[in-house]
Amino acid sequence: MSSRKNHPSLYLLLFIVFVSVVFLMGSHWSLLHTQESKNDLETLAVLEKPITEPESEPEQSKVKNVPIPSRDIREPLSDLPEIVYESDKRFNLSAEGVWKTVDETYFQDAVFIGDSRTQGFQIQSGIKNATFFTAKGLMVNTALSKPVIGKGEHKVTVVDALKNKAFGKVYIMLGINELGWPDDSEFVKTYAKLIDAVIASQPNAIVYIQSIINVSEEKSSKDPVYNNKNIAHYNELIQKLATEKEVVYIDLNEVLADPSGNLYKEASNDGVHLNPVYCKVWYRFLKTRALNQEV
Amino acid sequence: MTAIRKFVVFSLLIALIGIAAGCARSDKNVTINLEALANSILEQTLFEDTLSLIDNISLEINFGVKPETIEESLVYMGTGATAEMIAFFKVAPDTDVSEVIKTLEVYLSDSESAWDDYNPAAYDMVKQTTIVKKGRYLLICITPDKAVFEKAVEAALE
Repeated sequence: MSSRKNHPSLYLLLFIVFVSVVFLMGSHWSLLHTQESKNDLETLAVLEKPITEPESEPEQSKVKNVPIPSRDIREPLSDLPEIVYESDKRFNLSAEGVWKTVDETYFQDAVFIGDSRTQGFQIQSGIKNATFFTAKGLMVNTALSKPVIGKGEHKVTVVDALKNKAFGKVYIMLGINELGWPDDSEFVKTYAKLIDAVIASQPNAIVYIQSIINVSEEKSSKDPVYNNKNIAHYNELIQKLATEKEVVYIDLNEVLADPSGNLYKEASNDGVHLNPVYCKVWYRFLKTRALNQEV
Repeated sequence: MTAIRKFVVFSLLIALIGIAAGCARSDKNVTINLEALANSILEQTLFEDTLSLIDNISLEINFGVKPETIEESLVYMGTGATAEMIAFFKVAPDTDVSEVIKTLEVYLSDSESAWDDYNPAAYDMVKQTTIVKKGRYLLICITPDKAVFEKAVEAALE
């Protein structure tokens, strides 16, 4: 009889233990799940392979990173490296007064199309309110065919993304990932298709084609493909194409390359991607290269 | 004997309630100095790229997260040469943390596929990255030294 009287207490104990264990497992499961669920995500299908692959810096060149104070990002433009503009002779649109200088509001209806370098520009230049259709390794062919714009499963191609909104200006910088293509005529042909698609989608926009930014001397001297000789050749092709398509060509190397034609050494860690200071130089230069449509 | 059993049951009950309440409290009342945590990681990690504080970043454009769902954020990004990044978020009190986690998981998944083919080392780094949840804080660090990040987070909680 005595043991029967104790049964409710034992059941209560077992119940409490069970509930507590469930509670504790539940509270830890959510954290565990958060940390591990990503590892279960399936690798997405392999698409077209871009050619450029940033190389790791040698071990001895690594430096310990220190936080950059927020004021560094907002520092006045007067603190940026001095740049000297060359004449406009290299541009197709060489008429006097063809360029005008604009402020940041000019870019509110602008869209930038490009690869990882333009992604860096988006984040590091301080530009606000512009739209960016960019992807790592983006090329003239994948801008036409590969769904890279958007999030998750709702991605579309760059060209399709352009159809959703009317822009006043379209800035394109592509070409470095295509340097290894065996046939440069294929590059020109595909770039032409892309420009045609952009114009068809944005008939009222000014289309700016930016040159491929040169790489650093160190990168250029070591790389048989991604070097400044090949970039110069491609830029000639791009400039010629811009003339044929009657779009505006902007030579970014006027301000981003040194007198020898190499990307300024201090502009980049890997010789390819620009740091915040030089992204701001790039942005400032674009402000001086707005097409004056009154001329 | 009955008295002893009642005592044991009562003691166990109190102990279990205490443990459960302690766990629940530790998950909700966490406070982290995000700037100090980021500085600690930056000082102890040999990042390949130079990470810069991005103080005007659009959370919606870059991470897909609606700004009103985030009470505090701190983001350091590189030049684009590597995947390295620090992104810390404190979710707003009236927002479901799990929903923000889902959004950030999509961001990481997109980032993973973006680096796939382009840079195998960066791809592996992103693939090994998880969202660490501490209370209402969601901490992402794409780093070559995950151990430093984990130790820094634990130290930030002390």
